[in-house]
Amino acid sequence: MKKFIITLHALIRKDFTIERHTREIFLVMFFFALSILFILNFVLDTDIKARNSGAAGLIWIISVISGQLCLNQIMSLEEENDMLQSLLSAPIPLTAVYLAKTITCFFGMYGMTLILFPLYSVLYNVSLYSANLLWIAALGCWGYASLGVIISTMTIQTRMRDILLPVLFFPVIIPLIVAVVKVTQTVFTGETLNSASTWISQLIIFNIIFTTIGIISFDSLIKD
Amino acid sequence: MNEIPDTLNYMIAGYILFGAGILGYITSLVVRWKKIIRQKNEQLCHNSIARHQQ
Amino acid sequence: MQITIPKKYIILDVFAAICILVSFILVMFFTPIEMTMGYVQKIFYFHVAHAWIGMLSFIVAAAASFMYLIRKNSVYDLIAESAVEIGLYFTIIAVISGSIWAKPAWNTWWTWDPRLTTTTIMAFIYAGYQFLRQSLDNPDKKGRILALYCIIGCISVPLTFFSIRGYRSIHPVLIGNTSQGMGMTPPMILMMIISIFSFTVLYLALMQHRFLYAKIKEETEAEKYEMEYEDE
Repeated sequence: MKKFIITLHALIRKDFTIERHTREIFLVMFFFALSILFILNFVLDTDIKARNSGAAGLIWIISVISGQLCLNQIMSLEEENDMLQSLLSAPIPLTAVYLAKTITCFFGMYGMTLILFPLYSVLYNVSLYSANLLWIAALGCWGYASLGVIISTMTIQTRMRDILLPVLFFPVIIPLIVAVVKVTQTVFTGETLNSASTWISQLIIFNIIFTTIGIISFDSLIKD
Repeated sequence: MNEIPDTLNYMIAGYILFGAGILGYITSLVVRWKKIIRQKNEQLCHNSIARHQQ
Repeated sequence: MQITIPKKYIILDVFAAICILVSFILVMFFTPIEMTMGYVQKIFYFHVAHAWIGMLSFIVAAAASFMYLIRKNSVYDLIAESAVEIGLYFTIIAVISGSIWAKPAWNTWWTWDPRLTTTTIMAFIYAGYQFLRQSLDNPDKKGRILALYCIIGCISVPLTFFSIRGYRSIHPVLIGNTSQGMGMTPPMILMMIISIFSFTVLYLALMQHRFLYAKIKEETEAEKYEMEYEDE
């Protein structure tokens, strides 16, 4: 078990080091999200009601769309220079690879979402601050990352590569998005979290199911 | 009886869709079937020629 | 050697054709006309049957994919391939025909009802499956990846349905709460069962042909790989 954690730590550190040197993923993803946020301005215009009621949905849609860049990059990183082959031949459990990728992707997504919430409230002049958002966003991002890494492992092995990811990924992620948007909306409107308890449990169930699938099946996805 | 709205056109459209759907699928299967058989036969010919040359 | 369709397949084909024709005639001439919707209600019988086939074949595909992951037998992969293709086709027809029915009945082409939405999302997922199948090369990995995607899709669809079930709905409920349903008379229920049965027979007939096609295609492609390998 201790060895597993050391492996996991090493793998995550590898991805973060690459990211620190190249700055390929997070900054690009963040500026992509920012540009969508600005485009929204032309749609929302001065409609204050839409700004308020649509906040949860819009922020999560921006995260979902820009997070896709992270998912594409995080696996195709390994395809370059046959890094995947060396990773496969290394004496490490492939589950650790899956978890490391999911954790890296999770941090990217989580960081971006946490910046997006205050940014949205500053740009559109609505107040969206709540401590509950911290763990709700964490649950949403973890589910997104856990399923996203599975799907992107599938798509990097195809001929079409990046193009296929949204087509395969968005239809299956819908239940997560619905649940997380509902919970976020409940927080924004200032209601108690009890009224959203079914959504929260659904969010948790989704996380458990897809993390389990990823852990079980990742080696059969990637091995030759 | 005159209360029943006249929706006959919609029904005809619906059944044309069903018919076109089923027939269309069967046609596509037949077309693909013929193509694959042709390919298979070409392959068989190719193989027998190759064996003959040996 | 000439490849032909086995004789026993023809029996099922003829039976399926008879079933569909009989149920079509029954629907046209022997079912009562609904008082509030008129003739368009007759779409219902085939619409439900199409939706049923769509759902059935996705369950078949998921079960076959699961078996493939356990047994690693390529037969299951071929079954899943056939089932997804036929199911996708029938689901699309079901959604479009539902739309044709909805226009005169609800005065709108589309509503964001849980069943409509879920069915359409299901079609998206399996369209994605088709794209994935087309763009994978390695025959060994292909089966595993596709089977896993099929299972993920099959888990995700009911989750989607449950997550949006609370939304306002005007779609008639067939099973369960009948007070809110369409008030079906016994001949209507009988007709619905007959048409579902006929379409299931049609589905089996189509499946056997699609499966045979998939099998021959796989053989041909495997041989093609070998030939290319020999040429080099």
